[in-house]
Amino acid sequence: MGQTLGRVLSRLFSGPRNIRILMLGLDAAGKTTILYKLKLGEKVNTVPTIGFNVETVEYKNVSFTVWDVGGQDKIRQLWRFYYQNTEGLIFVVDSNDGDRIIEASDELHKLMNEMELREVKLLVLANKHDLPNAMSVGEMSEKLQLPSLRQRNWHIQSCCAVTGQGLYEGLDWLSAAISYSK
Amino acid sequence: MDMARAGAGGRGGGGRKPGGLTPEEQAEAELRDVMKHPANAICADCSAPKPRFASITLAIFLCNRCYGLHRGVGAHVTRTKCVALDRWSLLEVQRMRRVGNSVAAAYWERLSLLFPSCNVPAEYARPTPESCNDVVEKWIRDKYEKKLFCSPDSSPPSFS
Repeated sequence: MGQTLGRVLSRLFSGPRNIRILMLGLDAAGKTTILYKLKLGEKVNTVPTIGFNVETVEYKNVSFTVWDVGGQDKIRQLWRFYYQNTEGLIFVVDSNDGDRIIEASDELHKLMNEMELREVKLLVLANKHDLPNAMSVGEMSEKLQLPSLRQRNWHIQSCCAVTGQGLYEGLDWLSAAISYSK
Repeated sequence: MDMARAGAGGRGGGGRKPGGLTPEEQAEAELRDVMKHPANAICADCSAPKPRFASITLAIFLCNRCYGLHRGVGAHVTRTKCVALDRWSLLEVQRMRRVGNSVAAAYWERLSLLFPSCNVPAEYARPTPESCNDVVEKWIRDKYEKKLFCSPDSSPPSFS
């Protein structure tokens, strides 16, 4: 009882909680656009990310430090240098690009097999759902074989980085999933 | 001499071709050769020099800024690749060779010797490297997404 009260009080007075988020996905999935939509509230014209972008996003008394790492084919081998201390993984997928969904699935499952990421909560953002060939969340979930991740706490959220739709719903889930496990 | 090298390469396995290049290295070398064509030495959309990116759907070379704008349009119209950071297949490179900036412009802007009068209206703001992003984005969307300037009854060169 006293302990619980103590935890509630420290939550109330300790200021924002810090959560380290790693954002990965194939190139052109929309990772940098999502990062800057969250940070600045506007759509920026992005150039390919060679290396990474990192920004802190404050939302509902949580301070998310989001690392956005380039997804071009030849630089995906650098992803592993960002795993350490990651609590949440946002995997961004282009819902409008059916031709590369298998490639995205392969990369996601490689990540899910990494020892250093075994505890991370997985949020899949099905981006660009406003475009004409966009797949439904159900279809994406099946093609990415998400139900096979039995040991993993995962969630899939459709979104549109340009308008911002769905992004905060995704952060809500991630923040709740991480707090619950602590 | 060449045959002997080819034979040795064949026994060595690992998908190596004569001259010691993997198919991937061969594709990259060929892509660099395609980029030497004068039409491919400037961006297909804003004419900025030395484009290092491409749309593999449209088989054109793009500058950094136009590459970003093409990504924004969506993979159903234009799927992009970076020359140095992505792996290329020989098939993709061959298509870049067959089409490239000049053949693509002949179709998308109806620019050719057979059609001396360009189909792009004269008053249309054709972008330059100095144009702002909004102008270039409108140009890209009008040209490839709305297909305003191409002939309605022929198919794009990249699909032939």
